[in-house]
Amino acid sequence: MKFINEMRLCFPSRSANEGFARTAVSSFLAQLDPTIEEISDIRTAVSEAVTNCIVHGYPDQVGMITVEAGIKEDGKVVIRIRDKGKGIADIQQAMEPMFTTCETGERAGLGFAVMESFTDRLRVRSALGKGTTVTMEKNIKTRGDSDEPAKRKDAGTL
Amino acid sequence: MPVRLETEESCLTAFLSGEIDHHAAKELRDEIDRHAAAQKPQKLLLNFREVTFMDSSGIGLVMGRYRLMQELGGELRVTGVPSHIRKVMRLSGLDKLAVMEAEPRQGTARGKAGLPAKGPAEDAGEPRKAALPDEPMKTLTVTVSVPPEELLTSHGGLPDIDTQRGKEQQTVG
Repeated sequence: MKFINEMRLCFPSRSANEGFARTAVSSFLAQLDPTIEEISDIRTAVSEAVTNCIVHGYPDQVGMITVEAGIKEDGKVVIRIRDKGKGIADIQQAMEPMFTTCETGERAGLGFAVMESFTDRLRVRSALGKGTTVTMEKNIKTRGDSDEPAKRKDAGTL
Repeated sequence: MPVRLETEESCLTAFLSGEIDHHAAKELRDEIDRHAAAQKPQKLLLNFREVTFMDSSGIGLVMGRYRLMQELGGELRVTGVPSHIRKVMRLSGLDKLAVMEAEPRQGTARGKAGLPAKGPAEDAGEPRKAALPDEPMKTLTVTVSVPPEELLTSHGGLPDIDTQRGKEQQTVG
C-alpha cells in the first residue's frame, strides 16, 4: 500500500531539536485527527528515537538525523528515524529494557521499551560505523470507526 | 526556568514544568542537585503537576535523584503526576513511587481545594483555597524503600516485548 502523504525532515543532532522533531511529526499527523493519547504516544516514541540518535548515534560529534513519516490509506502511520552514526553492536541487547551504555546513572535504558510499548510495531536495523534506522508503525483510528468517541481531541473532555 | 524549588523544614520540593526530555533534563538535574547539595534535605519531592511532556529522560532524572537522596540518607517522592505522564511512569514502574491524586489536572474547585496552603499559584490571578475538598481525596502514598531497578522486576511493570501488537492498549488510570 502506498503512502497517500509523507514528509521528510533533516536536522543536526543537537538536543534542542528533540522538541522540534516531536512537534513536526505530530503536526504532520494532525491531518488524521488523532486522539490525544495517540499523539502523545507518537510524540514520546519520536522523542526516544531522536534522543538515541543524539546520545548514541553521534556521541562525540554532530551528525544529521533524518525523520520521515508516511500515512497509508488505511490510517496506518509509518515513522522512520535514522542516523549515519556509530551503529549498534548488539541490537537485541540494546533493546533489553534498562540496558544502557550510560555510566552516569542518569539514563534509564528504556528508550526502545517506550517505542515498542507506544507504537504497534518497531523494527531496528543497524550496522557498526554505518548508522541506525528505527521504523515504527502505529494505526491511527480514523474518525467514524472509532469506538471511543469521547477521547477525540475536539470532544472537549479535558 | 522550568523548575522552581521551595524548601519547607527539611523537605525540598522541585516544581517541574514544561517538557522533560533529554535536552531539558540536564538543566533540571543541575538545578535540583545544586539545591540538594547545599541544603541536604531529608526529603526531596518532585512535583510533576505542570509537566506537559515526558519521555524516558524524565525517568532517568527521577532515578538519578533517587540515587542522590540515597547518598544523602534521605527520601524521594514523586507527586502531582498528570494523566498524560502516567503511561511512561507506569512503563518504568515509577508510578509505584508516586503519590497519585484523584483530582483532575486542570483547575476545578475540587482540584484547587487539594492544593497545599503554601505553594505555587498555579492559575495566575486565582486565589488559592486552603479549604478541605468536598469529597475525600484518594491518595496512595508509597515511601521509597525499593530501588527503581527492583520495582521493574518485582512488580512486573513492563509489558512483554512484542513487536506485533494485536492487544488493546491498557487504559490510563
